[in-house]
Amino acid sequence: MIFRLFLVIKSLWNRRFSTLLTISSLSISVALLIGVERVRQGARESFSGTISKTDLIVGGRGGSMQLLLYTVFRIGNATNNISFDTYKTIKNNSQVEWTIPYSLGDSHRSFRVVGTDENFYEHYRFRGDQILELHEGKAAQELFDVTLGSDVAVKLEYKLGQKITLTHGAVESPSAFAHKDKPFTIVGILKKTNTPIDKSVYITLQGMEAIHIGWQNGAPPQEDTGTTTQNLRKEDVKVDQITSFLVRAKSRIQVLNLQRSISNYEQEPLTAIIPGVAMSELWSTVEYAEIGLKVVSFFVIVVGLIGMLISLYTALEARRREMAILRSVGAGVPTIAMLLVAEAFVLSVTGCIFGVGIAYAALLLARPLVEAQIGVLLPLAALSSLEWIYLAGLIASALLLGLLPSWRAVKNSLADGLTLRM
Amino acid sequence: MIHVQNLTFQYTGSHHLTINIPSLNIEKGDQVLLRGASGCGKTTLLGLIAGILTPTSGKLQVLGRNMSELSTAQRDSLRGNHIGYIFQMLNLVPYLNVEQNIALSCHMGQKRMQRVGKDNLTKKIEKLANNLGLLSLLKQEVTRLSVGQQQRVAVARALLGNPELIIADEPTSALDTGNRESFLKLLFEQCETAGATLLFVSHDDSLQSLFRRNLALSQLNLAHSTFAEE
Ligand SMILES: Nc1ncnc2c1ncn2[C@@H]1O[C@H](COP(=O)(O)OP(=O)(O)OP(=O)(O)O)[C@@H](O)[C@H]1O
Ligand SMILES: [Mg+2]
Repeated sequence: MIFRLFLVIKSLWNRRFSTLLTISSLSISVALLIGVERVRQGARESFSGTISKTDLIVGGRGGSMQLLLYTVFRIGNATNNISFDTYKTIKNNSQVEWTIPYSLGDSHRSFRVVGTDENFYEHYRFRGDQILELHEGKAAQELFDVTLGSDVAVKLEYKLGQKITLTHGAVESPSAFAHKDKPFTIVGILKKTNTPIDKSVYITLQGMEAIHIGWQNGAPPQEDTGTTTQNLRKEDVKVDQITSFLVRAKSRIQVLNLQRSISNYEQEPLTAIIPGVAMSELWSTVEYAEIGLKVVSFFVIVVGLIGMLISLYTALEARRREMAILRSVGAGVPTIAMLLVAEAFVLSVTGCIFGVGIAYAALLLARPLVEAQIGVLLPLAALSSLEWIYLAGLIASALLLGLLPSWRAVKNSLADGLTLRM
Repeated sequence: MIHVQNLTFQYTGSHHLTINIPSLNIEKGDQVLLRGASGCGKTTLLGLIAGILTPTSGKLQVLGRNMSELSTAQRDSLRGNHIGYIFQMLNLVPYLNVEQNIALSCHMGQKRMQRVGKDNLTKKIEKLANNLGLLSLLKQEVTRLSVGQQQRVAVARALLGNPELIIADEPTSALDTGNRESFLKLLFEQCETAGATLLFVSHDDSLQSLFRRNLALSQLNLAHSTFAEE
């Protein structure tokens, strides 16, 4: 048995150039398969990890997808706001553990401005149980304090203490109204989270309210209201409205109950969604891309296997003599067949080993880059059971394909008998 | 050792018999030269004796076994364990060195390995190589051997593990006269030491004088004569 394996390896080594090509084509296929799988996994994880520990997202009347998009991903706008009184009522509900209010609608150089309060810094969770941390400075607390998401600070090269002005509306346009009269001071910068959190700036609810004093129906005040940064105090600003808020229930069992009672809230029409459900609904819209990636990597594997088949097949003609010699020393048909299948086995296993090696090396190299560029954390974990199944499937297919040249070799050697053909 | 009675053989797809031998007997310890012109069926007969081909009809007994009654696997193991086969040329697996090529027969035939003993393998190979003048070449690549050396490696492989029957299919046709005789001398010597029966095939009539027993296949094989007369 060992000698037969030795024969197989010697024979492959004898054809080392074509062996090497076959192994590299197989290992590149394997590396691609694993790479695609990891990117898919990473994308999915970082997507679903954008928000965690939140049981409900509550907003005004409107679509649930819209609510998810503007609250979690900072895409699009709310059609309706919620009154602050409603927020306080739900916040004080006995089933509610914590809430995080969001007041949206303004922007700073295309980055969204989020009005929120200390609950955001305390309770917001992402990627399981990760909390928001400050890279430097502190959380926005005073009326005209602003804390930056990490990407904002990096992209705009902002430092603590700098003053910035906010723009009315979510998009930057020449006609957009800038709240020039009320500049904000950067007091803190958040650590990178690789979530949309990084792409926003955070002020207090009161700050958000303050820049809109005197506004009527979304239009700037006609004459000077006389309110300036100097004479406004946080205590004087009364928060009237927020856009949406996150809810953590005291127990998971109560979530559905709570959702029902919020949806049926009498004083005001509200929408309450369970983020997990809405997120997977959203993800399913991009599933075709996932399937596309899988199909591509599947075909790369097929091409790799066909390459192996070709190299085993083309070697057969040159090996007729070798087969006749083996037959003369007593090798039977099963031995000849086994040698060829074993070659396919050695090639595919080596291909898998190198492929996995290449995949991990590439992941290790690409990880920081991908994380920095698109915020997707590629998982470096050991091979998953799905990946093992892929590899086993590849080796099994290689063995099956190895039967073809081995059948051919047997036919040749039966025809040749003890005649040496050259 | 080999008993033939009314043996016929026809290749599938062929329209006439290639072998039709009413009677042929080779006894233990014989050193037989089987002569015949090219195409008269020498290699075919050897294939039958070695159990690569199956008789179409008649009786072929090799080492006391009736070849028609054996399964393919049994014939393969009979060949691997009890028969040493030497080809006309290019006997060696190109990617194995001299020693590995010699050892091939023992690795493929279990009984041969048992007879040698796994631990004695290297020693046995060295002894054979020494007798055949190959000792210094054991680790050599076979592609860098002369034709004569290659044929001697094939002899060593055929003899390793003391098979009862050595079959040689024109092993000297690529050698010059001088080499041919010294090669044959070595072969006889080694077969005698090992107590092996030798069946040697050639179309070269000049070898007749060197063998104790001579057979002309053209006379034995009726298929050939009828075919030739046509
Ligand atoms: N695999 C085969 N299928 C069909 N016919 C074959 C096959 N092998 C040989 N033959 C035919 O059988 C006959 C005998 O061939 P064989 O090889 O036994 O001759 P030989 O005596 O060994 O010749 P040589 O001295 O040239 O080696 C030839 O006519 C040949 O054409
Ligand atoms: Mg021949």
